[in-house]
Amino acid sequence: MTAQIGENLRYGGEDLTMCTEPLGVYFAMGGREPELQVISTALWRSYVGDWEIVAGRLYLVSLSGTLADGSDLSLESVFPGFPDRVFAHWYTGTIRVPRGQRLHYLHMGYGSIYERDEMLDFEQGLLQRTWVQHNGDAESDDSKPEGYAAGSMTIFGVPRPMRTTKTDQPTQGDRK
Amino acid sequence: MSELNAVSLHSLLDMHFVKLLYLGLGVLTLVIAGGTHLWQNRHNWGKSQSSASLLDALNPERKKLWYRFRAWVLAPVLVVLAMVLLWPVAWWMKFADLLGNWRAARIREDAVFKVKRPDLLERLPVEEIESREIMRDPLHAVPDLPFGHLNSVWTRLKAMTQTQDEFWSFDVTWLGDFGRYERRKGYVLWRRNKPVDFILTMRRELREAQPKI
Repeated sequence: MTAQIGENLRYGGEDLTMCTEPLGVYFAMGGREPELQVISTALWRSYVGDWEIVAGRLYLVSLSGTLADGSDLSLESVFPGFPDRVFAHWYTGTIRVPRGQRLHYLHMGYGSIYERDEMLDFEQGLLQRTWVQHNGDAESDDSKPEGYAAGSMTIFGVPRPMRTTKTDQPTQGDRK
Repeated sequence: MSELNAVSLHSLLDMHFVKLLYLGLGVLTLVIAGGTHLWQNRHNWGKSQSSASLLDALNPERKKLWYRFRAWVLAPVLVVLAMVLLWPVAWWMKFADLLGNWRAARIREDAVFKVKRPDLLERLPVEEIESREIMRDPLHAVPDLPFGHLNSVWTRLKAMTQTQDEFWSFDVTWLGDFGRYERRKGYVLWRRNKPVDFILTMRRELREAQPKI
C-alpha cells in the first residue's frame, strides 16, 4: 500500500496535514457515502477534506474528489444542505499532525515517522486537549522540508484537477 | 469341563458378534459416505462422459489398461476396504471437518460487530434519546435534529420499531478490524432479547489493546 495523502487542517493560523480521516468514521457510522472514482494509489479513500478548528470545534469546510459519474465531489454530495461548513460532531478520537523533519519513510498508509506528532484529542467534535509526542531528532539539514508528505504513487487515467493530487504532496514547509 | 467349553463358546460367539457389529457399522458408514457423495455430486451426473473425454485428451495415460485398472478397480476396492475396516477414522475425520467449519463460522460471526446483553446500559424511551442527542452548533453547521448529520440513520432505525421493542444505550470495547480495539457507544433496538439494529454515537480506536473498561 502506498503512503497516503493526508487531510488538510487549518489550526492556530497554520495550514497543516493530518494523518487521520474523521470523514471515514462518519461513513463507518452509517453516514451517506457517495461512490467515488479512485484516481491514485496514494489516495485509496478517493477524497481529500479541508478541515478547520474554530473555537475548539472541528469543522469540515470542503471536499475534493470525483464522483462515480465524473462530477466533482463537494460537501453537499455528502451533507445535503450544508455547502460551506459541517460540524464533525460524530468524531471522537485523536487527530495526528506530524511535524518537523521526517525520520523514517514508510511507503504504507500514514506509517512514516516524523520528529514530532502533535495530537489533538476530540470528544464528539469538541477539542479536549492537545499534546506532543517526540519521536527523535533528525540530522540537522535545513534543506529538508518539514511536515507530512506522501511519496511516489501511481495515478490511474487522467485525474481531474485536485489540490493535493500531485506526484508529491506539498509539505507544510512548501505551503508556508 | 463341559461348563468351561460352554463359557469359551459363549466368549467366542460374543467376539464373533462384536466383529460382525464392527464390520456392519463399517458397511453402514460406506453406504452413508457413498450416498452422500453421490447426492452432493448429483448435478454432475451425465456430465462425466464429456469430462472424461477432456481428461483423456489431456493425459493419454488414462487410456492404458493399467491406469484403468487402478482407477476403476484397485482404488475403489481399497477405499471400500478402508472404509469398512477403518470406519472410526472416517467418522473422526468428518467430526474434525464439522468442528473446523463450526469454528470458522464462529470466527466470521465474531468479526461482525454485534451488541450483546452485557453491553447494555440503560433502557430509554425514544423521546429521552432524541432529547439527549439533539445537536447544536454556533455556526449552524449541523441540523438541529437528533444525531445531527446522522439523523437519517436514526430515522431508519426508528422506522424498524415494532410494539414491545425497546431502545437501550450501550457501551462496548470491541476487537475490530486488523486486531485493533475500538470503543463503541450508541443505542440499540432490542427485540425479544436480541439486537435488531443500532446507531453509533461514538466509535473510537483505542491506542493500546485493552479489555472492556
